[in-house]
Amino acid sequence: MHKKLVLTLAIILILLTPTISLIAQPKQVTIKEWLAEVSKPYRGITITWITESTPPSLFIRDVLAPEFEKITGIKVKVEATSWDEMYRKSIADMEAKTGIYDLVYVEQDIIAFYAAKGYLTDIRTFPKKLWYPNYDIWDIFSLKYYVVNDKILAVPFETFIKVYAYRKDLFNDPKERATFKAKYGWDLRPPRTWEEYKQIAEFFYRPKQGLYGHVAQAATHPCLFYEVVAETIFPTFGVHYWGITLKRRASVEEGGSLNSPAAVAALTMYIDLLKYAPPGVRTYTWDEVGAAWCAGIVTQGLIYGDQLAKAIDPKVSKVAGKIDVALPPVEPKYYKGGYIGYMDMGGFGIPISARHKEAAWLFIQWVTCKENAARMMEALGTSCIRRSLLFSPLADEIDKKYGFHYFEVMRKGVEFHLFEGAPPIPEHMIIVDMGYKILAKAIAGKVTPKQCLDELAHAIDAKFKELGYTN
Amino acid sequence: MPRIRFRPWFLFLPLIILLGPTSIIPFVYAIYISLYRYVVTSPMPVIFVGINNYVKLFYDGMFINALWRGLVFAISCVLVESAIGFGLALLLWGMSSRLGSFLRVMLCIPLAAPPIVIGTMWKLMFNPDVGPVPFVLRQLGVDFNIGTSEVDAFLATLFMDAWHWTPLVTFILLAGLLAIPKEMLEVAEVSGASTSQRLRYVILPLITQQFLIASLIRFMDALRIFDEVWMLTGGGPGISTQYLCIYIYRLVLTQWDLGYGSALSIVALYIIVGFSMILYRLVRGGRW
Repeated sequence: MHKKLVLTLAIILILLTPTISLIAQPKQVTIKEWLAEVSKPYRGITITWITESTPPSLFIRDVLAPEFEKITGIKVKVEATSWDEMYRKSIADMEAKTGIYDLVYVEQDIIAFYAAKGYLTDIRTFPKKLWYPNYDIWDIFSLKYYVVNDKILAVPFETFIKVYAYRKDLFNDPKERATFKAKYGWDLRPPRTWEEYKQIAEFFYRPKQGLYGHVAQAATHPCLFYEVVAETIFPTFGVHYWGITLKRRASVEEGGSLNSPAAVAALTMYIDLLKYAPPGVRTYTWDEVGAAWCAGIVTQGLIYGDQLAKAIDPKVSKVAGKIDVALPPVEPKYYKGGYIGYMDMGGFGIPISARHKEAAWLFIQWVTCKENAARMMEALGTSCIRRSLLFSPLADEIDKKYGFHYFEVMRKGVEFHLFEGAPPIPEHMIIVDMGYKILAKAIAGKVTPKQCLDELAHAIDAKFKELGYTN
Repeated sequence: MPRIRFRPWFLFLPLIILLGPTSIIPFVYAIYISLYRYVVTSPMPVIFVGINNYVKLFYDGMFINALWRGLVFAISCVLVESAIGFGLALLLWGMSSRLGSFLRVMLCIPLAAPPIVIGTMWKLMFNPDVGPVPFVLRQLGVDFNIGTSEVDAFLATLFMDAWHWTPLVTFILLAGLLAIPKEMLEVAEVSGASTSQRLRYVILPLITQQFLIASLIRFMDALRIFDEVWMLTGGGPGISTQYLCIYIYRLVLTQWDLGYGSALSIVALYIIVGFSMILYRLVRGGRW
């Protein structure tokens, strides 16, 4: 009898074990539940965010911010403006410590400057109770670019790559392929070298049909410096990190490579290619490049992921579903390794002068948590911030949905470090502003590429010396 | 011992109170900053450099280029707008009241539009890809591209400015024309003066002051033009339309070089004041 009782109790215990363990386990709190609880002290306040008007920023403004307001009772005022306006306002606010903005848009290439000036709050300083338990910040693969002296100064909410894009409908057209092969002797496909790129540009240059073989951001605007020197052209010619050494020297005579033969060849090629672009190319910034793609007048070119997002959107683009992407071409004579393209990142930074730092941090977690990062990735199609999402079936599904290989290229880029951010030069803005004005002279044909780069390299050397970098 | 009269100074007080925080203090602060190397975008320390920023101006090719181009632009604007403005004023002067009133209202429209809107509008008009102006000129065999040609970009900024501000010159000159006593013209006519003689010997001398006032206003404005040109060409192609204020703007709000930018602003202020004083002297018939 006693034995029977023990056996029965043992069986009951075994059967109940899973239930007990389930009850004993702490309940998995969703981010919504957690935010609703932790945000109580901040209810009713307003946080203000200034950002560049990029597709992720607009998605956050229109979708995620209203949801956050509902959950937490914290109002989010989003000021989405142009790139240069965003910089002017954020720097003025942080320099004067006015505290107007609780969050600022931090592009990766500006982080060295912001860090040197001590503008931003170290995210690590927030108490543990303000960290969502399931928030894996290190899953954000571009976060490393925002860590300076072991301080996390901003959290990326958008990461794009600048890729080579082409009209796959034209590239796959049997008639075009046959004509191309007959003329150039190789099969039409995304180019591996700039020479191949040029041949494709020449082949598709058909102004009478309103079709052009190339597009560029060649306006008298900072975008020109970014495209030529910083991001797109020079790296593919083996001139990395803007051709400037860590000791802040640009000219070959002083150890830099900004006026090296490779750089001169790169600028010469860039200017030469402009003849295959639409007539207004010298007035194009990144926005006009996106617009030219949407209008269907461009066959190939290098394009930022956020602009590509517009070009694949059937609501605004004539060529949605007709675009594919690949790695940028290189110049084999000069390129011997290293990154070949630009990884464009935008993050949230909390100014030291912000009035509602904790509330701002809660908002950052809401936007960049895995769930919302996935939603944003799905909605926009070209931005991904988390490694776990980039290497997930979701990325393949999105590629399939838009009929391109964007995330496949991005994965390669992340795995093999083919796309990089900007070097940590705090004087970034000075160099860019000086740079584009001098480059613009070569674009306008006033000076030769060699004269232009000599002038630029020496001007940068002189500027750094003037700023106190005398060694 | 002369007695100090406080009353006139006391009457100045409201003006000083008003201008102090808005003009005088910022101006003095700009002078103070101009004596320092103060580059916000650089982590290097702020240091006192004395008049170095002012000396630097003489070696700054960009500054000399911007000043020179700004002067050429301002003088061109004054000449073009005065000529067209005078023609329009004569047209309106002799026009029936109803049509004249309608045209005057029409001429007010460009004056009412904000400069940034004007810049945006003409940017679209001159767009090399889709703008109607290059399109029409292309049909006539003329290649007009503000992205590639310095001359085209300059002409575009001049045309835009003329479109915007010629009505102002017209109204100033029209006011002068309307103030001419009819008797004088009648006497000239009875004396057998031809139309061109009346214009040359009666009308023009009587509206010289208005011409000079209009020129003074337009010259000062054109020399400190910023928003329209910034919107239309961004200072390009190259630096061909980088007029003085565009250069200052880039220094101060893009490079954040506050020290040098302040020095430049102060010098620019005195350049504009200097030229304006010369014109003012002409307006006053050689008197100050």
